Amino acid sequence: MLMQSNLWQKVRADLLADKARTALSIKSLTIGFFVIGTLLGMMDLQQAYMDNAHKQSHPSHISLIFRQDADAALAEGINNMTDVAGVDVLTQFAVSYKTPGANQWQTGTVLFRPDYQQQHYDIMSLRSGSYPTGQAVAAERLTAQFAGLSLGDSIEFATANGGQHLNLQGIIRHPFVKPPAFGGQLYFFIAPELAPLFGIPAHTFRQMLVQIKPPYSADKARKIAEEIRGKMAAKGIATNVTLLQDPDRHWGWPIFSGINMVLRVMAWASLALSAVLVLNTLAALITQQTDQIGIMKSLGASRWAIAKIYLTEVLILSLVALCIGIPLSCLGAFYSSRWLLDLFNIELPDFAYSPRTLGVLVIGGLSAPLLAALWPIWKGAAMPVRQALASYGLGGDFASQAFDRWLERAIASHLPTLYAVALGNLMRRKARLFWTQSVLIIAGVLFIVIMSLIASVNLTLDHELARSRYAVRLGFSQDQAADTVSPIAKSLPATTAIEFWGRTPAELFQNGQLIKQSGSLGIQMIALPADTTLYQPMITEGRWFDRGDEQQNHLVLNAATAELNGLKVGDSLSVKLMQHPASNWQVIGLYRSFAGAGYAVEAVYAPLSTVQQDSPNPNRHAFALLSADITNLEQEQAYKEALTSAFQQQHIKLDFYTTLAKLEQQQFAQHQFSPMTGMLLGLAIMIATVGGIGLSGTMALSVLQRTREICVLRAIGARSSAIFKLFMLEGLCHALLAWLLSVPLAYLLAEPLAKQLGLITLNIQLDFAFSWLAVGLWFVLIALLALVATYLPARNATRIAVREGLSY
Amino acid sequence: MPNIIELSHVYKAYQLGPISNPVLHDISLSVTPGEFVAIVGPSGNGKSTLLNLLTGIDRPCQGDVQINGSHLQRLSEEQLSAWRGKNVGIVFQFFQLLPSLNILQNILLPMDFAATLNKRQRLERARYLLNLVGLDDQAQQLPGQVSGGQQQRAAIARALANDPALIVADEPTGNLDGTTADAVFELFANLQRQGKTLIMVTHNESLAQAASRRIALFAGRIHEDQYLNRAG
Repeated sequence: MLMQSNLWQKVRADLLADKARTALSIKSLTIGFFVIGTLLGMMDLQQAYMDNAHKQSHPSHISLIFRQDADAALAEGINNMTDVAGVDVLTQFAVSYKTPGANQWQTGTVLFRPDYQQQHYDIMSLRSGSYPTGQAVAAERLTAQFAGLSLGDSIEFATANGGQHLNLQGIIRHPFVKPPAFGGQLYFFIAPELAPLFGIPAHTFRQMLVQIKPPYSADKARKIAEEIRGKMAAKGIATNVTLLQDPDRHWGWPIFSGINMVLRVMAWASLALSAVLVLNTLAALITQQTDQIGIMKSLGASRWAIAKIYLTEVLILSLVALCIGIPLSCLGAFYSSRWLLDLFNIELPDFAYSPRTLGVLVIGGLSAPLLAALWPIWKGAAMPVRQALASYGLGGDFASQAFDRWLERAIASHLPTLYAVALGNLMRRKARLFWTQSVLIIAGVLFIVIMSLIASVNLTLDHELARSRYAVRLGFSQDQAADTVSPIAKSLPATTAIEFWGRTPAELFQNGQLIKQSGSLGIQMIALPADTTLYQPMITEGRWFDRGDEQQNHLVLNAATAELNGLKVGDSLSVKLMQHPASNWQVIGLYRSFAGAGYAVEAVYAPLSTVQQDSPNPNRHAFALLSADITNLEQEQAYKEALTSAFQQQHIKLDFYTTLAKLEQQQFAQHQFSPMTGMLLGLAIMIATVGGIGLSGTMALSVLQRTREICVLRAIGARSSAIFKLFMLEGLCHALLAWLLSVPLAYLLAEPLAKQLGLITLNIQLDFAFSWLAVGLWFVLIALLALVATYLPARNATRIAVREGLSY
Repeated sequence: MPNIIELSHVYKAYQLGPISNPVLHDISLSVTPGEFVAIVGPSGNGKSTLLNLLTGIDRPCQGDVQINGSHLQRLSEEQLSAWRGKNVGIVFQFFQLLPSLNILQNILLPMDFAATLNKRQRLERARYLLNLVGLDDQAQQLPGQVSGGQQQRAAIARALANDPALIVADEPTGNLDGTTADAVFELFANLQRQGKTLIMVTHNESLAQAASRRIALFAGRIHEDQYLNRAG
């Protein structure tokens, strides 16, 4: 009983005697618990709410977007197919609009469904107001947020009758929109009776949503999609886009899988780093209490009895940190989930938390620090009594190893004394040096690798861009004759050359089986001149087209699709083009796609002359590629606007989704990757911050442990500035050492890591570029980090009372 | 010649919670330059406190502490650090050499803080002091690589670095064996012969007897103040 109460008394005294150290330990642990709780909680909430929201919208299994307006009666035919459970139709098209107060026309998308009250699939749910009726419009939820729209606002649309104002009647949630904040379109909804105002024929549709009968499988859905495309093609309706949706998994998962991998690494890294900080603190505490341990042992305490004291202290620190960290992490998880889910148009209005994460936090939060502290405590408790009691000096722990003696001989002895003290002190506690440096080195390597990843993305984009020698690619809503388009394009002085391409739906078969595609929105055949000078994708195997391929059944296929189906250069495929029988084609080359994790239609390239052979309208084309004298984004934008205006005047409608400008596309591609690269950089900065906290803790402990040394320095004439400078120098030595070690390590690891990260998080193969800028930046960052981390401990060192430090 | 040490009605007490614990009572003391003063007495009677007041490491609650013309209680902590470097050399019981500096660098350190000599002069003086204490061959060794006696001799050399008028030693032989203690004592005797003023707290009777003056402290008061071996 007496021993127990003494044990608690010792524990209490230790924790309260040095409040700064106790606070530092609690802070380190709390930060770790907060980060891991927030990230794991966020992932759990995300997964639950995303899939739940997806199922609630009754997702279609197959979504087809057609090139032409299809008669409503065609949907009935599809609905009657054996494996089809049901069909919904809708129409969406590009419009020009102006929000209240805006002067410029913007391009957005308008959508309508035959009956908003009778939706079966991909349900667009009403959030406020009412579904649009008559001369009114509704806005998509993210659109309303982004554009700052409220019910009753008047929005002007460019219609067949000129500008038309429509009042905002409702806010609707669309389950499948790209957030406007990430470059997505703004979406509006109208009543079907308003369609003719926008030139859309009545009782037609452009998009079909299909559910298949159970059991669902991706292969079954693919097969049925192919059948539907065939039926529609037989009616002269070409399919532009085929999207297959998993009924149980939200469509955003491919994007999230990369993010979640990063978040998981961040979560566990932060817990490990917190445990390292605790380990450092415990090791210092044991060292400081060596004499007390010696006394206890001389009084008969067992190793376990001594270890129990310090393990109890660790447990109490963990409990306090958990009490602070758990509620904070629940709030962090909730608010960050809400923000992330909002990007996918999913609302999280009420507070929610993850019980599983709570369990992990409690178990991990109690066990990880104990496990981390176990070794230094057990080692300290095993110290012989004689050794423990003989420690009134400044310690002869430097010079015991050959490295110390070499360091002194080779470097320290040549330095001014204060620098020599700083360097020597850096190397005295090697275990602590190892742990502190580990975190800083990992942060440095990660920072340089991620900056190299960003440089590699930019290089890859530049290479991709260099392969595109056109300035603008015009996509026509309806195929246009070259004789009509050329004069209009050439009327602009900037235009230097023009080339026409075609587009046609294609079904590719291997040994009678429809091939699997790596792209997420189906395959389209893009037909171009065999001797084209305006574009060549990155060929990974085989070759691109040349003059000899004119009128040949030759294909250049996506390399990822080829790999998925075990196809090689030289293989034959059976290709069925719209309204034509299947014929044999040969794969002459494979190209690398740069779609990333986004949704895109996959292209299979073929010679235009081959596709035109059997075309009813060989002189009509889907695309016109224009090269022009353009050097920057502003010129390109002006050129594109001039082209749009010129074609509008001739009543030729450009297809918003397939008309693109090269530099604008490059910017868009860079923005597409920036959320992920931003998150990865955030990971590096987080680790660097924890490294900074670790360094601050190490320096604070260093000051605490060297109180006597500081007082001796004061006794022999050192001013505050010298003491301050000494510790700041030691902090900077930490920074310099970490930088020196991280740079060569980063150089070795950057290429394999960046390429792997590019595949996993961005879904692209990268051309690698090492970022030397990052090396310089890291030097500046880590030096600043060290200065900030060391400032307070160094200042505290100057305030130590001389008398107390010298007493025995 | 003015006294190098003048303590006038000095009181010192430490606050332990609500209780004031007096350590020194009405201490008045004068020391002339060149004296070798041994301060003796049982443990806990104020010897180390007295040394702390003489070196400016602590401040009196009442009274005046004047060392080498400076009233220490009027100086700030910064001023005291600088004053100490130039006016007092302190020798500790447990040597207190910086473990990450070699012997030569430990001796250079106070000169670097004082910055009154240029680099070449500092090096010359450090080597001279090493020679004085018989440690020429140990200049490049780290404290952890030399014996206790050698460390204490290095500490004495460090105390002499800025050629202070006053040397203060707190149990300088307390951590040494008999033979080594004799060697260190010989060093101190040498210093006194060179005109240094030495104040030493010691339990070593032979060391105390070798001093020119013996002050016994008991219960915070000067119990006995006896001149011994006075020349002339």
